[in-house]
Amino acid sequence: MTLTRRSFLTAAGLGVAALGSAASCTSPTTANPGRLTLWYTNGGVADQVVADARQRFGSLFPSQVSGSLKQRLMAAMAGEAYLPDITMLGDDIATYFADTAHFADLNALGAQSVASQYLPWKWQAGTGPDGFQLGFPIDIGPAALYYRADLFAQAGFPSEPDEVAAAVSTWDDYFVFGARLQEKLPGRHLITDTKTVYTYSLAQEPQKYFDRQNHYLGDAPQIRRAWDRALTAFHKGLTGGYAGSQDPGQSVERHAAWNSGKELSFVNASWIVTDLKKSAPETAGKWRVCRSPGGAGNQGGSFLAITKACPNPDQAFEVIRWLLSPENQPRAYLDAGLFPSSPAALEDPRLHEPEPFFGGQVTMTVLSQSAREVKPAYFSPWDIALSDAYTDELTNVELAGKDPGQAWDDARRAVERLLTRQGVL
Amino acid sequence: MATLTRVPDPVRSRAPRQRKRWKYLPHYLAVSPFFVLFAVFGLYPVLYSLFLAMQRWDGVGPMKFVGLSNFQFLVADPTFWDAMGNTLIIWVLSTIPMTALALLIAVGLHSSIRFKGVFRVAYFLPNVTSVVAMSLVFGSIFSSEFGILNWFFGLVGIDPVSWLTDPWAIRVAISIMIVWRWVGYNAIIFLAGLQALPTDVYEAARVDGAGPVRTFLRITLPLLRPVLLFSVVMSAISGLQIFTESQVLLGNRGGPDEAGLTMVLYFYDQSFVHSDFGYGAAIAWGIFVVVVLFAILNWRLIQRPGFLKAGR
Amino acid sequence: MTRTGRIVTYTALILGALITLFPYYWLVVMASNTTADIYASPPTWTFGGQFFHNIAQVFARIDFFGSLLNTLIVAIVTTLLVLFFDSLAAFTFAKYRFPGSNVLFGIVLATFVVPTQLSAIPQFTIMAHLGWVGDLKALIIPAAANAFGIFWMRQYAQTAVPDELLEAARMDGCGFFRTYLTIALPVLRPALAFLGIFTFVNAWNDYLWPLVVLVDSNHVTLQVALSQLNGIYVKDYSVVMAGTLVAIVPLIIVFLFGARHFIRNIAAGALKG
Repeated sequence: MTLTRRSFLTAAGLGVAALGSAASCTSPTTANPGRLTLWYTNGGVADQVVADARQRFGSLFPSQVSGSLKQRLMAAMAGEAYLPDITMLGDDIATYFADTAHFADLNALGAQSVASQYLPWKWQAGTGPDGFQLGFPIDIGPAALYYRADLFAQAGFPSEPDEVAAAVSTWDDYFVFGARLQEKLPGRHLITDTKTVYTYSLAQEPQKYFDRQNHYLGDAPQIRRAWDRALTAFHKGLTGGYAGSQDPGQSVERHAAWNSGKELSFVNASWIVTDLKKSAPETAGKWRVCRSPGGAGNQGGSFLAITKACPNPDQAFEVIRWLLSPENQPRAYLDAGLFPSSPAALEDPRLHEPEPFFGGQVTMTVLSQSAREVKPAYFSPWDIALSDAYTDELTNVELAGKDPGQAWDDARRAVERLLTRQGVL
Repeated sequence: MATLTRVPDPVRSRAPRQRKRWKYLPHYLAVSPFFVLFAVFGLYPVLYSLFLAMQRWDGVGPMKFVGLSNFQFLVADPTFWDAMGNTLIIWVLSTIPMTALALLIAVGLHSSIRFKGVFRVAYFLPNVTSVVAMSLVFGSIFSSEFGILNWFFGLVGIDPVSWLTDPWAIRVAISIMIVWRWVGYNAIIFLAGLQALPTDVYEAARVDGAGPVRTFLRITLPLLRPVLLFSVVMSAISGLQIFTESQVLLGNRGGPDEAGLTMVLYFYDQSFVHSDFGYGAAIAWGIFVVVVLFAILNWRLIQRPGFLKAGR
Repeated sequence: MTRTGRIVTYTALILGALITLFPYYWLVVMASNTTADIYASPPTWTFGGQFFHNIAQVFARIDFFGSLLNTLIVAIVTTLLVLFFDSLAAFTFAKYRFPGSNVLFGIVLATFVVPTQLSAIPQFTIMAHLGWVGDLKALIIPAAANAFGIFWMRQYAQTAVPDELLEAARMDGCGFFRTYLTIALPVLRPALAFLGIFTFVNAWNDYLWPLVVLVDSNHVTLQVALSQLNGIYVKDYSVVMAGTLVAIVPLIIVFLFGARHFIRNIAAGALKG
């Protein structure tokens, strides 16, 4: 590397030129003036459908953002510049309810006329205070029990979906079933980890941490129920301890457990299937799905919203309506695994084909039932933080040998501290 | 510069002062690019973060002034103290082996062997690779059941370690990643130091009959002190800000028992995952205080007379 | 050196190098297999045949060469600016006393310790006002104020630039900038080489800030483009690893190319510290 004086003077010139050109323009508020910018996470909206939308709506400008869409959105909102016209929002949509001034009320754009085409509880989840319709449903995550039918049968247990569903209709039944199963199949686990039990138990409750007026419910029985259930599973030796399996660093164990059959079953939302198929193709045909113990619950799912920066909200709403219409949702499911949020889409015959990966079972029957039965529970802006506090402590009990009583106290204290700091308590 | 004996000539008496001011103009110009850029892109965010630390803000809604309460929470926050402890523990666990290994490698490279260039490239390569990219690789290596580390342990009869779930194993795992990344960098710095040492001292030692180990301990190490301490201080400042290794391996919470939760990871978790930007800013200032104190501690050690002198 | 000494040294160094390079072997293994192989029980340890398929996927899913070009531009221009601004400032701090110089240098030191992640949001606001959002300028200009560089080079310049030469230059009537260009720069070359590589690598690997400020997904840097390979619900790791591998290659080439020259020079920088 020869660093000549010339290169330095060039650099100086560049620097000065750059600084000089700086002062002139300010940024437009909308990201691409004249076009409709759509921000979505990779896989959050079906690529094929987006491509078709581009054909249909010439001004659409889709922009895939990797995982940190929220950070980028927040930076744009804070800087009031380069905002997308349409953006995807995750299941933490409640955190945006605080300042709906940044978004357009979809009701003002005619959303009421299509509201009935979507599952009521999902539509409600996108409704902010005072009926402000913030989000338009994309997909949902109905929970179900996925299990290895071949291993169940091998151990002499019921393996057909209906039989299994009957045998494990409550969590307690599930645990009893699991304990006996694990005796026959040592070295394997019925349940992923305590976090799953807690999360999906809570997902089945009609109320979580707050009521709809954002009042903290305090020491509510459903929290204790979910907690105790998770601990029971742990004490019975049913959990595999794969907490954290979503992070790249720790995903190896759990995915290997799918392949080796160490994980006998798991309760999870439907979006995990794409991962399952990709990581464990050798196990095709061995899995079945049935109703989750405890009933229907939802975990995950996203929305589309229109920001205030959009100069043409009517057009934007047309795009959203088309993208997420009951006609297009089945395609999104088949291509990208995005579970439809529209009851009409759930009835589409294309989704009721036997699936080879599940040994010819029509999984949609079970999943759509779960989707319909989800209780509309209020998901507050603090839910994720609070759930993290509890599941962290559960993980400490499960993997770090912490005393459960101490863990519960620490979780409560963390929750109180958090809420006091946030001004809720 | 005008002396008292000279008659104050109006023109003359103005000139020296002007000359004095003009004299420093090039110096100010020379340092100004940095400071102008820093004022805009460095200072403003820093001041903004101080302002932010006194607000409650979730990134979306309006800000609410809360005075010093975020800092009060910080001081009483057991998680922050845990994070501080973790950061310091990881720093010790990584810096000591790293420095020792870097020294040994440098000594090896300094000796009369061939293929030095190849070795240097091999050892330096980790430093130019992004940590995020290698996260899955390390996750795989540290896997309890299938990782190569445990396979190797099995070969020599050691029980498998739960690298990613046992709290102490987690800290060791993160430290291993840090060592892997920085050994080559520091080895090359030490190598430079070795290459610049005067050879006559070694001649004298050889004549006196000192063996290689004694020479190393009594002569090389003391002579290398300045370089050693430079390396330690630099790693003190950057090492206390470890973030990526923890995050990619264990997620935003630092794993079971928050064993891998470092201070910067806690800051990131509170700010960007839980959208508590006010508290996050307070944490960032807490980190600042800790790092400054630590750096001053190290600096004092260097300034101590006798440290910079070569060995006995 | 004795024969045993030589054997021991070679063995130790080779062992160390193998351990250091093992993660790269694993990277290639992952990049050449399918995701299912990576997660198999037990996972495959040998190369598979999917290498070219995965790489093709990488090129199909993201704009690899476009983002590579962007990264190159950012890295090179940033490095040149940093080298120029930092060497100038460092030389001044090292060799000249002027009013306020200690305070200013103290500020430089203090900027070390502020976590960079903190500044993402206020920086974005600044960029919005300047109109640089989505522009590579937003990455280059803030990075040109590099405190570490000034610190490092000042250490070096203090001992490396001989006072006698400066005195002689002053006698000859050389102005400040001329002195900088003719005397300081050539002497500072080794430190510049080190700082150059350091800055280049950091600019290359930077992820969070480019992610936030380059709002147009079609005009991003390499690290951000690679992260687009990750899906929201599923991560196709074999493809991600292939992407990582391909992203490392240009850096390795640049590094190998300048390694000898660079490593010889890096020494001097720390030594004078």
